[in-house]
Amino acid sequence: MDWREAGVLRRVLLRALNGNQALILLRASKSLNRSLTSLLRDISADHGVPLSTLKLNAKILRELGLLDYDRGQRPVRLTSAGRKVVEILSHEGDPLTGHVYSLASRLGPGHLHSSLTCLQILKAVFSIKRDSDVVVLSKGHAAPALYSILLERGCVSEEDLRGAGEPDSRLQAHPEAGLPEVLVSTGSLGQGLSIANGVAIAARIDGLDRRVFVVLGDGELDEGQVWEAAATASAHGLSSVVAVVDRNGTQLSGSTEEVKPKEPLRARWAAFGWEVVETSGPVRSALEEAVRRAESSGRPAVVIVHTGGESGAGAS
Amino acid sequence: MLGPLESFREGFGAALADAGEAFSDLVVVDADMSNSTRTVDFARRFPERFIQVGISEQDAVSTAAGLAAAGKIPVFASFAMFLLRAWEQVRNTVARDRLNVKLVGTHSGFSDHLDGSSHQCLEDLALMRVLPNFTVVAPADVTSTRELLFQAIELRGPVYMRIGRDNAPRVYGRGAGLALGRAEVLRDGSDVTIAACGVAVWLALAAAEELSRRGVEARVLDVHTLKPMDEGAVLKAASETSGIVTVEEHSVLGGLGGAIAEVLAERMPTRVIRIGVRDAFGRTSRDYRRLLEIYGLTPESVVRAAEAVAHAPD
Repeated sequence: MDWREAGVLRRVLLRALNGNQALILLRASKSLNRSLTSLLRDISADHGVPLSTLKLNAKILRELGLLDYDRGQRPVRLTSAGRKVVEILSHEGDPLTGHVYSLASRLGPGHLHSSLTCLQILKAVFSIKRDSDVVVLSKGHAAPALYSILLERGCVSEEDLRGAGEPDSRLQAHPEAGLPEVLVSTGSLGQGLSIANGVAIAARIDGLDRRVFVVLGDGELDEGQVWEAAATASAHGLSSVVAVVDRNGTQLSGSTEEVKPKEPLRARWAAFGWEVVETSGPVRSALEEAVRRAESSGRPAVVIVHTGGESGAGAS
Repeated sequence: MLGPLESFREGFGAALADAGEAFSDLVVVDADMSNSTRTVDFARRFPERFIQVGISEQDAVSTAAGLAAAGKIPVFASFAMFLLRAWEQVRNTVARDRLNVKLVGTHSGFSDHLDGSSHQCLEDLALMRVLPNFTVVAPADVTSTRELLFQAIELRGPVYMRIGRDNAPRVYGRGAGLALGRAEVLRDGSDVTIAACGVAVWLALAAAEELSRRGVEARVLDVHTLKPMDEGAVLKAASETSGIVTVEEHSVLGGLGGAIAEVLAERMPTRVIRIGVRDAFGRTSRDYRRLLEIYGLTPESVVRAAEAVAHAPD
């Protein structure tokens, strides 16, 4: 099963399963000889989901034939179908995936898929980000992915994650300034690229060597402001701006091409004067390629990452 | 009666260029309006700190937000009406993150008289006043525009400044000594108070002169800072005079009249009459003053309201 195929199947599965159900399956796959109650108690404590909610979802999983348990002492275990589902859900085998599931269940299950597709993008971005660089998560609803990475980087604690989404938590549903690595609050779509341009222009005035990475959703590209900003970046030759589009093929009402076509996406960015790199594989090397091309051409660069298995015209 | 007329935008443009000298972090963002807003003066002197984004106000505001997040002091000036196109960007980034962005809405009120209702702006004070973290300023003339602009730049945090296009009757001499957040008592009186902002301050002063001839002494307040409101000055006026007439070249909903009524209703119920535009849009007119007459923004209507307040039985 390749990356893209897994993406399609995961999207299908996440239309059927909610975040808590996915979380229970993932945790059950890693536990040996545990009773259901003890497993759910752990999940509840780790992720702040009420035990009663988890019990209800476990029951649904059993009815679906994915989970096997009874009220006796027999340990909870995945059925063989359940194991296949887990294989798809955690295809990248990333230990952060579990945090994304639980955060999405706390912060808005509707954003789970988008956070999962964004996780590898953000990981790659943070892997090449230097201290002086800035990351703007324009698709702020992928906060679960960002927060999971902040945990990995030691910027927030597991306790922070357990309290996410509460009024007194610094982990709000969409990222807010003041968090490490969050320069500007986001959440309303279409604004991150303009903000990134502003940061890049300031750096140019100050003579700073600073790259500005901005992560956009593909549905977000419906916003006209993105294209205002795309034109501004190329007009000003902002080669320090690297945009990454999470081309997961999905927006709120359905497939991006059904809601409002984004293709030909490569040609759109190119027409606005951008260097365009496309990938459906490893993101990091595509980012490095984009940085190289931006530096040599003096133009801004965008990486279109096919994460959701859309046909992706021109994804060669 | 207007006295010597100056131009708001000329005054603003010159002051901004001088501010560029004084503040090395000051940058100016433009959405293809620099000739109209006169930020072109700044652009000529500091081309490396002038950022043209073309006709895209939303992009301009968010770019300014990025510049501020990176430590600059961005000024974005546009027609007040078109700046409001980016209200959501202002709200969600500039206000929410308390970014050091200075927004200047020019051509406000009826001042863009010839362009008609699409360009005139009678809603900006209400829409900006409702935003947390924002300071909202409406200077009365060119001198106060310069003084308050410098103070707005020195203030750390978002500011909205509203000015007109031209037609700025002189209210202050050189060096008015204004302070952001402090209402200015331009004329003392104990019968009635007239509180005004922006270009309506001259209306208040003209009305006060006429009232004086009729034996009514009006206190005139220039409430150039609508937010934070100088509640002390408002409460003092309410307790020392028989009531307050507010005057603004703006809707009576949510602007100066609304702000003062909010303060008084809670803390000192007082008779208030709001002079302004009554829930309407503007019109094209080749003569600015003709529009003021049509919408009741005249010294006469202020006099009538002030007399009604001053002579009302307790």
